[in-house]
Amino acid sequence: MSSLTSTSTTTKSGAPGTTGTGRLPQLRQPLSGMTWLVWRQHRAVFWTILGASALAVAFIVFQRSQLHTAGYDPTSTGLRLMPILLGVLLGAPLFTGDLENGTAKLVVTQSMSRTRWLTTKLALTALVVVVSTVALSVAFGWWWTLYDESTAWEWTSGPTFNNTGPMPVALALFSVFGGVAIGVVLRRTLVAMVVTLGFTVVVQIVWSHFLAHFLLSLANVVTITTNKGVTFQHVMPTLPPGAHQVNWSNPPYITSDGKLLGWGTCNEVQTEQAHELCMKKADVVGWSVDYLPISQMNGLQWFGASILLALTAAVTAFLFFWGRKRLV
Amino acid sequence: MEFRIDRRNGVPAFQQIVQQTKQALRLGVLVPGDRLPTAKDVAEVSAVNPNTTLKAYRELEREGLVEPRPGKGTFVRRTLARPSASTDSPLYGELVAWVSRAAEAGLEQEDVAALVASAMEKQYAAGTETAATTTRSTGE
Amino acid sequence: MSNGMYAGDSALEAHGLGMRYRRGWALKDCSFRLPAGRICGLVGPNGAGKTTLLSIMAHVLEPTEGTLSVFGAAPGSVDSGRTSFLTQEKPLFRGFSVAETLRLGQELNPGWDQRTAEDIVRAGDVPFDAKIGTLSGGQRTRVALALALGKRPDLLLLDEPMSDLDPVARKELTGTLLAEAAEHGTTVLMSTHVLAELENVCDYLVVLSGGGVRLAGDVDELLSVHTMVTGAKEGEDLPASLAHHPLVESRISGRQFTALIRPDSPATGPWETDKPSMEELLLAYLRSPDALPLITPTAQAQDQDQAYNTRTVAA
Repeated sequence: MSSLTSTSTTTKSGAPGTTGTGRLPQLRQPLSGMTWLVWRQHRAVFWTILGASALAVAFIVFQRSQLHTAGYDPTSTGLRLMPILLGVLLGAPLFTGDLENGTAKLVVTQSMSRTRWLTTKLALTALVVVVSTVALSVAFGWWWTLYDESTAWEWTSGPTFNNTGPMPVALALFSVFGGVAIGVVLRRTLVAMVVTLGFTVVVQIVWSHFLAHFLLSLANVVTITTNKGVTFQHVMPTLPPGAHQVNWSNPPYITSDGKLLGWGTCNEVQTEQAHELCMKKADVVGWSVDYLPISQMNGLQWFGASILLALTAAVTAFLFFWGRKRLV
Repeated sequence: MEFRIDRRNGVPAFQQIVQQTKQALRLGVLVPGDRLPTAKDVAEVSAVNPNTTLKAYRELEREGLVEPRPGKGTFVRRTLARPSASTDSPLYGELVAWVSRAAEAGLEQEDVAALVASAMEKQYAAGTETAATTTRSTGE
Repeated sequence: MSNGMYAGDSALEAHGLGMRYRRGWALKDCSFRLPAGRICGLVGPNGAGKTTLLSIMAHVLEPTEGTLSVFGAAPGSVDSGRTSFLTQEKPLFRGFSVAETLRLGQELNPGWDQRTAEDIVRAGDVPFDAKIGTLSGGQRTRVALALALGKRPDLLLLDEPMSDLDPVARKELTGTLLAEAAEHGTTVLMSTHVLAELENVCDYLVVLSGGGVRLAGDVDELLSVHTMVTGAKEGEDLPASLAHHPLVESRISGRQFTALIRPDSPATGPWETDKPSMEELLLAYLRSPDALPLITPTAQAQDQDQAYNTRTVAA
């Protein structure tokens, strides 16, 4: 048989593996091709993540259905740590293991392209991250609507804003893909995990500042004003449910000509009559309170998430254009 | 049959295959109609390059000893065993008698071997040269 | 079974191949050709660029300069045929079982030959349910070889395939490899620095040294154009009448000289001549990096008119 005949076998028909009939059992399994390989290689960490998320979701759903709030704070802290854990334990080692053991060479010298390998690994990883974070986000958001009634956590606070809606998904994806890129650049598992730990912690800190100092400033501030005067007990007007009052130090009193007066107004008086007189003298007609209504929460979350997803897309592009050639 | 390829004796593997096949033909280990091991078999058992085996078989084919049958393998065409070369032939008896006379004359084993080699050289020198030429012409 | 000895089709053609790493050139101006169906030894000292050359052929690395064609096409392209590359470390997933490792080959390679792969594994009595991490070196190499051969490659690239094996496993696996090559007409290129490993195994040779090709061609042809000369030295040097023959290497011990020459005409004189063995030939070239390189006609890269080939190499 010459090499010419062996070349012609490329056109051989029949499903691969059928030649081994009656030998190794051919179990028909749902996964095939590169997807099978990636799932098989990382199945331990994938199942761990999915299992842990399922347990957490079950706990939250149970507590919520019992109308309990016990464990709410530790859970919210756990959720904030999740992007860090995922980045360090899933993202950073995704390729470094293959680069360290040489299995990257094994995979890229099979008949499938490197792009296919990179795409499949990133896609399956993203799928696992999205499934687990979406489940947690939905469950936690449901729990929060119960807790929210006691106004302990406003929607603008980090533990609420970052742990519900699209935010946990976006934060986790960015942390994990950042970890993957760090791994591909550094090529060493341990070093990549340490650097990814630093990276994901910095992402959390920077994001908190970004949320407090930039993102919320984009929200439309709604002002509620009253004209029924201000009583000695300083009972403020009631805000809509879930609204977040901004800037307590803002001048809360409004005069008939629309001027705002600060908290110091008529502070020195001791009696109710004197206070009422003083207020009248100052021409205060009522309250003026600024707040962020909860209706803006969703829009802001999607805006923040899209910023993070755009960054994730940039990291992915970097992996494809810079990293692909170095995956051996 | 199985070829014993010695990597250390300096004789090229293809010549070892040719020699061992001829030896088998002489001894009657291989008879006409027998199939020689395929290049794959030789490669598997003796770790010899299949092209080397095929080259040896072409040499045997050139000498008219074997013939390839496409798709079936290489088969023995004729034998090298001769009745007069067996140990019960008169020639062998004469040789035994001569060797015992040589021993009586005080010759050592090496002396006898040298005499036999020298006599063979004289008789078969022309034939050896032909073989050497054939060998060279097979180089590609 | 055809002989595969024809010089017609090229399995590999390298034209001015060069590879530069940060520390310098690992390969420079490498041009040679390997006819299809050959079993070729790639020989050279450590650091000669063997692994780099194999990696370029396997499409793992991109050359800095020059071009390479595998069965007439660029490496990695659809027309380049199937190429299997068994790297020196023979990386496999340690947590996979043997059966799963073969499944990897099946899932990632269209045209996978499960029977061939299983037979190779079975011939070594390697249990299919054993984890790769628990196997011995020889068993691991066997599984890696099964993975490489199950792909039914047209070109099989092996980097120091038998370096860490005991003699029994080495002979057994060499036999398996050669038998598969015989059955499918696979072209094999295997690097090694154990010269004894090549004897009887290779019918073609490429010697790399200092990043360049020193010697390339059919083994019989290479041996036939060289002559080993032994005799008494003249004065302090080789006999003057030997001087007009191109010299590869000479050594003097006591009154005797030994020289490997590439005679243009019969080298007759007051000395003994002999054909060199493969090992003597290789050692002589490896020891004398300044000897004139020899690339026999069948090993010379041909000028090609393929569009991607932008470089012409003087033959």
